[in-house]
Amino acid sequence: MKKTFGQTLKEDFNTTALVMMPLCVGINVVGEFICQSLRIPLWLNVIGTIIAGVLAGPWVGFSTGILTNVVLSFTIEGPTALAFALVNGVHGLVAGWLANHGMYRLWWKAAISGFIGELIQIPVSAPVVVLMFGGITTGASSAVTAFLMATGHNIWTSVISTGLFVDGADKVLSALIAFFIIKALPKRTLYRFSRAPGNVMGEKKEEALLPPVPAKP
Amino acid sequence: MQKSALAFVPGDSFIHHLNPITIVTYVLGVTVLGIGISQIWLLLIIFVFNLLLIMEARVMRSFLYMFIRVTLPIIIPMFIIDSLFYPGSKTILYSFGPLAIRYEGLMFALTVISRLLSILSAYFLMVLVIHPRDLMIALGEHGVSPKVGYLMLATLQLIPYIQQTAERILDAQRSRGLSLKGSLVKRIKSYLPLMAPVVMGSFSSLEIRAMALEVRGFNLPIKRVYIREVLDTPKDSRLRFVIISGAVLLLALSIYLRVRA
Amino acid sequence: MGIQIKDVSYRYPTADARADSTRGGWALAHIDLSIKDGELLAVLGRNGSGKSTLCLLMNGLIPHFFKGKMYGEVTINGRNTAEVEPSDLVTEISVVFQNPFDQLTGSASTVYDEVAIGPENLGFPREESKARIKQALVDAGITELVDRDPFQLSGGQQQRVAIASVLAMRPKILVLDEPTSQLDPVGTDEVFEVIHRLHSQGMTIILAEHKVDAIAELADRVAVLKEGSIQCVGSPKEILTRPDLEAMGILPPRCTDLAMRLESQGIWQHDLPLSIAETARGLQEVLCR
Repeated sequence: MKKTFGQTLKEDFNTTALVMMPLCVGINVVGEFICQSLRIPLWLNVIGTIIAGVLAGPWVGFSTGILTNVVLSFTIEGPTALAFALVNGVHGLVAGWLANHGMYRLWWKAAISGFIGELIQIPVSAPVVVLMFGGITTGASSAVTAFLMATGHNIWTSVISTGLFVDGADKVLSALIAFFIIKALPKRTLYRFSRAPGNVMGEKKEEALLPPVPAKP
Repeated sequence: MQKSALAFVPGDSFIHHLNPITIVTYVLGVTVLGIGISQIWLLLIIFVFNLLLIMEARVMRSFLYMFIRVTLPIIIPMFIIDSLFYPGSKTILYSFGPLAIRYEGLMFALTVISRLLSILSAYFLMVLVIHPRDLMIALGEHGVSPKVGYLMLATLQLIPYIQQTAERILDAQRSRGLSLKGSLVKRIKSYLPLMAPVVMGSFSSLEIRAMALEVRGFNLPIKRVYIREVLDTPKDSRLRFVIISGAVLLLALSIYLRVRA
Repeated sequence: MGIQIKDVSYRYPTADARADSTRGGWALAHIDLSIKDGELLAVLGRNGSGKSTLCLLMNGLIPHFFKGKMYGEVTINGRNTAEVEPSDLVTEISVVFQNPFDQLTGSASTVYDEVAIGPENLGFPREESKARIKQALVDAGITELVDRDPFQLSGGQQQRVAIASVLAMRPKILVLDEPTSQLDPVGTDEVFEVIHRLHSQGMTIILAEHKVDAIAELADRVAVLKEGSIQCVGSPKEILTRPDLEAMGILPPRCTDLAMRLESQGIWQHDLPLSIAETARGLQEVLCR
């Protein structure tokens, strides 16, 4: 029996998914924090979004990305986060969609998914960069520089890092980290989510033959 | 942790007492104008108007703090890069050595900067004057699902908490010899062992938290009645009407002037 | 009315049949239990015996939240849990879990706001909600904590906040799944005191616990679970003085244990005691003989 879109959404956004979303936002924030503490020249700030997408589907992933940026925009640090909410959301959407097609069952497939996410977000972030940060010039560099500066890096990191290479590596690594984290989650937790059994464990929803109930003592 | 501190500044001004949705309407109106208007002087008028509102709400200090930290690092480099390197710029205004400031680039930079100023100032005003909880209640009264409110507030509360947890784990690992120097590969390898405890700890509480929410009626289809009252007065409705009409008029004016030129 | 559990067997969806050959992965098997209004039933058993699963049966989280396979029927005040959503039962029955911190919603910055969430969700007018919150805070003994940040409280305090939060829903039945297992002795006492008070006010309570000493004093009836099946049900006196208690995985109350050992030496001649007071009297008689 085919489910309606509304029904699928309701199942995806079950109570456990709703409880997970703030958590995944937290993972995004902490992911970035640990990255900076270790002085790794990347962002690693969409790991939580990807996890949300893989476990509970593309729309939960998308909402988690948006939620991250909307909430951050209410804090002192990050009002400009709002401009990039869609970008974060897209990563969740793509991760979820690819996961539904089995792309997060093997580590190297997950890595590829990360890169695909990066490619897809380009047309989404480009208008924002143009509108807010003065445009795309012939060299991708100035647009990327402005973009990088807007996401909180100082001018030297921005100038030194180069566009797609760094961004791509960042998202590939993020997808990999998300993959290994999901791998480490207990089965019981995974079952709480609508998509996890399929996306992570490759299990079909068939009723296995149950052993009989033991007799009364 | 300062990073996740709310921007909200409590106060008693006229603006503070408005319904949050009225303020959001204003910000949306300004955003549309900021994108649609192309005259620098018009954009700057909006910017100045926002500054007046900020003064009225007595949040100028916090505004300046945010402005300097957030906007200047964007505006200054953009100004420099665009006035020097914008493609298609021909008219040289001033040259020094191999570099030259060109007119077209300069105008482009100034236009974008005015856009940014007008939109961001409205936006900062909003986050300084609205507490997310009140916004959620106001939205709830207008039909937005209370689950959205839950998401916003739970996330806001969780971030400082999970940040603390991460800091603790970082300290613990540091005392066990985790090195912050060393090769990049080595540092990347330390990433997962640092993230894992934070994530695992959080995920383990999911099941119980979800059940606790269920038990408190989270999924009840009943309309919520919040203890805290967020008023939506006729004054608010009138203001919203004024804002929307004002925005439409200004936009029309801008387009008219552009077509005329 | 009360609770009727008729021949219930339940298996979690993640159960691994190979891991547990004797039970085939069934967390509960052929449970029959009937709980009267106003009764305090204690559920004892080793970890893994099915206590938590039994608790989750009562408010419909099993089977709705956990899925899995369930046979049999659970009726709460006349309503079949399989036929209604857990949301429909929130004013009938509520559950308090082990970990105090995990029960905080995280969307409230003060204890008052946290306790307010339940009544707000039920859509009561403001005055009604305020009255409920006030009463719940009093019943749980936390009125002095109203303005505190729930995240900053001690375990015992948080657990009482959790209790207040569900009390504000005014359930007729309260289920507590090892509420004191993560608390220090002071916190434990605080929680048992609240439970005692609620029971004396007429609330039906199901309490899954390890702390037999407290159970001996609090419970009207005791049920023992072992490997998913009920071994015996009876008054605390009947159950906690049984010689096969340890075989069922339960240690008797300390004072009962003392008396049992004296009995095996021929010294103790009376009924086995459950409380310190009874033990003292018994010892007095023994020593004065």
